[in-house]
Amino acid sequence: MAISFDKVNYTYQPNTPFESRALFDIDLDVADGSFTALVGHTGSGKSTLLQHLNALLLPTSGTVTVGETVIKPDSKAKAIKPVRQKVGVVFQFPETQLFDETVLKDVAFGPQNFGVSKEDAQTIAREKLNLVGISDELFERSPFELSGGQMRRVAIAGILAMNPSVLVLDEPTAGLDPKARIDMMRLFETIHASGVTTILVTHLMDDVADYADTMYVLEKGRIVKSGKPQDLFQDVDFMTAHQLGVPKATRFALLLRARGQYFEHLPITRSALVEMITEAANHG
Amino acid sequence: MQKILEIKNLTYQYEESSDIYAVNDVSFDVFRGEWVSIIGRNGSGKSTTARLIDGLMAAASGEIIIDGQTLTEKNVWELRQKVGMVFQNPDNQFVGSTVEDDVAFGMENHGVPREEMLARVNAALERVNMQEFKTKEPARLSGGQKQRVAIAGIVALRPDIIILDEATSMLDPKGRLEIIQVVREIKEQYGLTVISITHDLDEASLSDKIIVMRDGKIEQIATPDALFLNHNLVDIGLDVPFSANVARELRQNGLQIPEKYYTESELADFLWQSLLTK
Amino acid sequence: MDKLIIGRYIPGSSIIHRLDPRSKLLAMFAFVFIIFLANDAIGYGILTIFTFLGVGLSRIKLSYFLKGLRPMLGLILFTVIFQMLFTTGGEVLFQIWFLKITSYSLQNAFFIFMRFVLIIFMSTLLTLTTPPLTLADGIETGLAPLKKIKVPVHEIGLMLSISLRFIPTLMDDTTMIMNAQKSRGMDFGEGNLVQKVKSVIPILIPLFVSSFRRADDLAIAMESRGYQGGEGRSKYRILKWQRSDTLLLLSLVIVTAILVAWNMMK
Repeated sequence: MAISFDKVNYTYQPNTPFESRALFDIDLDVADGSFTALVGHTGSGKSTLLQHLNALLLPTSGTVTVGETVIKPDSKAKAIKPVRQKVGVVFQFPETQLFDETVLKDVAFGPQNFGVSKEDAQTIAREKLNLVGISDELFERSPFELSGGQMRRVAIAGILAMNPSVLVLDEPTAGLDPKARIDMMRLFETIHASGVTTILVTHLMDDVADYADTMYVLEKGRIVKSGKPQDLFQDVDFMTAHQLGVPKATRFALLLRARGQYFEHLPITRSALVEMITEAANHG
Repeated sequence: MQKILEIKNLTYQYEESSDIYAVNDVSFDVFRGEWVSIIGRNGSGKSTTARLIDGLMAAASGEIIIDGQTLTEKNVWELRQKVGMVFQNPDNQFVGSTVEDDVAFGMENHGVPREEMLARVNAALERVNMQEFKTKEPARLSGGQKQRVAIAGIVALRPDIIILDEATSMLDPKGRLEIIQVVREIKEQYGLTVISITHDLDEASLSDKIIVMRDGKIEQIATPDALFLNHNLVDIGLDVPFSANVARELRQNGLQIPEKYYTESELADFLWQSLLTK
Repeated sequence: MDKLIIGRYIPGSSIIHRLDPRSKLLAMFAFVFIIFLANDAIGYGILTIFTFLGVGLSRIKLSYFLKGLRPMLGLILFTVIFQMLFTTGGEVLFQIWFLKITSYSLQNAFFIFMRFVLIIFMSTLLTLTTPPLTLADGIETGLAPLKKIKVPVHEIGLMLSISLRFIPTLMDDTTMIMNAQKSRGMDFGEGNLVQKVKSVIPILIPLFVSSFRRADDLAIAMESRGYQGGEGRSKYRILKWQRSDTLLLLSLVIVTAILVAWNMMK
């Protein structure tokens, strides 16, 4: 499913002394089946934009199109609800959303809100829990008895259980140890490969380089750059000037370039870097 | 060098009758002025060990000797003054209603006279670069800023040891670097001993030694250089240094690179000098 | 969320703003008693002048004070009408069925109305000119003498200040949790009463859990920073009693004296 933003503007608390403009003329296209990264600092409007993806916020002006549904400033609740199922949003530290008596019930909560029967919801829940690596014996336990990492995976299963066509991930690996981070990104890669359009909000340039095919840079409520990570990361000065950093592979290539090594294109992944160095070493 | 901390055969169970030891016969020493990192996967017992050192939990058995004195129920408050701890969640250790109130909190607890508090609050805030936020409320601060305030609160009390209990794991990359930088500076200035519980490679690479914990036991103690050659770092809760991965993969491709740990700039130098300019 | 003004404090530097919270609290407290000394037009007139003097000196727009009346409007109206219709005495001015409005009941209703307005205006004056934290300080310091009779003054003060500090944080938590549950298809404010009550659970439980976790973490952090209760603690914040504070209390004494004298002279 594709999502597009057409001249979206958002103002918090308009016409009050607390009025504050968060988004300025956002034009954005998330292609169906793509893996899109959204990058920007705290205060860049990331979180506001995120909330437009599943209509938690309605644009002050402009439109957000999710698949066939057009979301406008005056859209009604009934029109919006299906979007919440089509676009599954995993917020940062999602484990804070867990509330039900058992792990299974909590994961089944989402689908049931969209008319799925209790039995069917539990079947899907079992499937998704296994997918995220939660074993059967934990299904009847209280979610609060689990470890932090397990709780996070249960929360993610809760979103996957809605079978969304788009999966939005807000810093999904925040606070996890290195192994858990790798496992989690691999999980999302698998889900993406099955056809789910994926949007990743992140600070980690390496994740952008390793997984995303499209990248949008947000600053002070505006899109300041967009395109393929491969291309955007070539402009190291831009990235540094906006305090965004580049992938480790690119940084290392710059160290070599500073010493005299020629790079036609700066690599953005480790494998590309290793290949380039090997080539250069073998061909003198 | 003097020993500032001696841990001998420390054990701790979550429940008294349980067989599961969160900390299982742990022993190690820390010398004054050292930077020690404790790493391990979540659940390896590293955080529990840190809390036992600060007397926040009582060990089932074993000894904790801080600056020559054994920690007991009777002297815990006194010995605790030698230890300053920064916790993982920036919000959940911020007590004061404003930045200056929070920095003053520890001093208030120790009955420091007001005149002195005023001076020390200012000095501490300057040390961590938060002077301009003196009257701000925590709701208006970023995670990194809140952690800096926590550090200021510790600086104001001048302990001997500062324990960072995953103090950077909830911060964004920028905030993380800020904190590491501040801790480095105050360690230098005040001759502090740093114990850092972490997953972060940058923090760990600053250590004099790294203690690796798994399932409540110490698996190994090594210097960063020695440890970074290990292929299974991810398994023990640390990122693998980028340079180590690159070097390994280049070797797999047949390039002649000696088996030792290179930092990124060292590796770049080596590659340029030895392999790329022929 | 951090734009919400708790208790609607409006920053300023008027005389009223700069008064010590203790004198303001005492004045507020005393006023509630003094107001019962007034029982005629002159008495209420004096109190009204006194109140509007305070309002004027605060340099805050009257509209804020009027807004302070709004939440109580229902109660005020109810009480006033009740007084009008059910107090007896004096000549009957108007009558429908068994409901009478007399000159006496009308007067009474008016006085009760004034009592409400003046008390609300005074307490609004207090909250508009005193930041919540300063108020908490004032309460803690003001209650200090009660330590002698084992009232946990310090603990109350600390509870107040920590609660205040966490209000914005907990509000943010609530927003986050609501967003997460809405994203899972939760509807709020829809359906019958049972459904509405049920829809609170996915918010309340996570909020409770996270709040307890915060409290737990905070307690550990406080302990590691040497917190052992109120014994032997010094104070960073101090309140300075100034001449204007004494003047405030003096003015209250004068108003009381005038009212008492007036009552006796009648």
